[in-house]
Amino acid sequence: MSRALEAYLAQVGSGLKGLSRRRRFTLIRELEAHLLDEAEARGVATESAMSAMLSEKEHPSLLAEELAAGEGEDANHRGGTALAAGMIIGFATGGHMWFEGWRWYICLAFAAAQGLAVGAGYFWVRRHWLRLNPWARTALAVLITSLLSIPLGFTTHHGFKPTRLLYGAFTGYLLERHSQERPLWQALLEPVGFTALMFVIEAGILGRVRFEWWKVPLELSFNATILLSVMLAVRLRRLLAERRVLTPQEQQG
Amino acid sequence: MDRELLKGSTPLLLLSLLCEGPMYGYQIIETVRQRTGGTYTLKEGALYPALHKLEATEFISSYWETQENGRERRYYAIQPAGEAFLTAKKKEWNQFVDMVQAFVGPRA
Repeated sequence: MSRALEAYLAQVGSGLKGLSRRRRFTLIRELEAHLLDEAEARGVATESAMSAMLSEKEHPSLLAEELAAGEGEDANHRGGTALAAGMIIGFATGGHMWFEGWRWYICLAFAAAQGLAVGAGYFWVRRHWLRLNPWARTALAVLITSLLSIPLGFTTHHGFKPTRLLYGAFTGYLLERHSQERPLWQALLEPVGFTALMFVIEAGILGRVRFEWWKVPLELSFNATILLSVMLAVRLRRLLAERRVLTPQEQQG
Repeated sequence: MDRELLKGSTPLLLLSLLCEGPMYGYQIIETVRQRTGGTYTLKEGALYPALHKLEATEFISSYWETQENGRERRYYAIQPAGEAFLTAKKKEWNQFVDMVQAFVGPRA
């Protein structure tokens, strides 16, 4: 690498205050790639030509300041919106259980696990698979939220209940599917389909509960609550994202 | 050009460009410079924070790709949420332009 470029990047790097080592490395790596692209396009081949090109650039300390400026806010946005959206899902499902007559500590544990682990956890990791195709994204979302929902399995009076994980998987499925606009009829069918699946597994295959008709509206309304809270959480995140994007912060070149 | 007029428009400009396909930083700067005839020049200190902000909101995503010469480039690609946002904002932008045009545009 050119010595002038190396020195320039080192100065920018030393100005990137308050960032993690990994983030600093990524920013410098990206800036280096950028400057090498520019040097190539402009036919910069000598050390003096590189120095001349870099002298046209912003001062390293100013550039570092600009690059670091939005980083904290981006991280806050990511974490804050994930938490807020997760809490909507947690409160809605925990609240529904409370109305059903479950003990308060079970409701609280379910709300915390569903909201923080499944909801916020999903929103936190989702960016890593954004480039996959929709089906792969949905499959991954179901898998990850099933794992994240392991704490949900303990929110019962009788030890670990594995079928609780299906609520986490269902939430993940909905979160991924509703990250894009989709027909209302599909959205309405989802809780119906999942309710049927739950009865087939719990009453039909595992024989854990007896199927009784009065249980159907209870289960259906719970699953519909998950759907509504997911739609609300996704909408909230989108609104906050739009607000964040439209807030001018960067200096114009 | 008055910088105040440009404030806040960078994200929309970037999303519009990325609608055409994935692009890397220098390519974006060059495309903007060429299309505006040099009247608007994005600098690295403005471009990258704007791209990272769009990435944090999941309107775009990024990936590294190794070139034939062994060098790496970070490409940015628009996401469905970014497309939906851009479509909505384009509509608003056209309404705004029509409105301003009615007052300051050329006389019929």
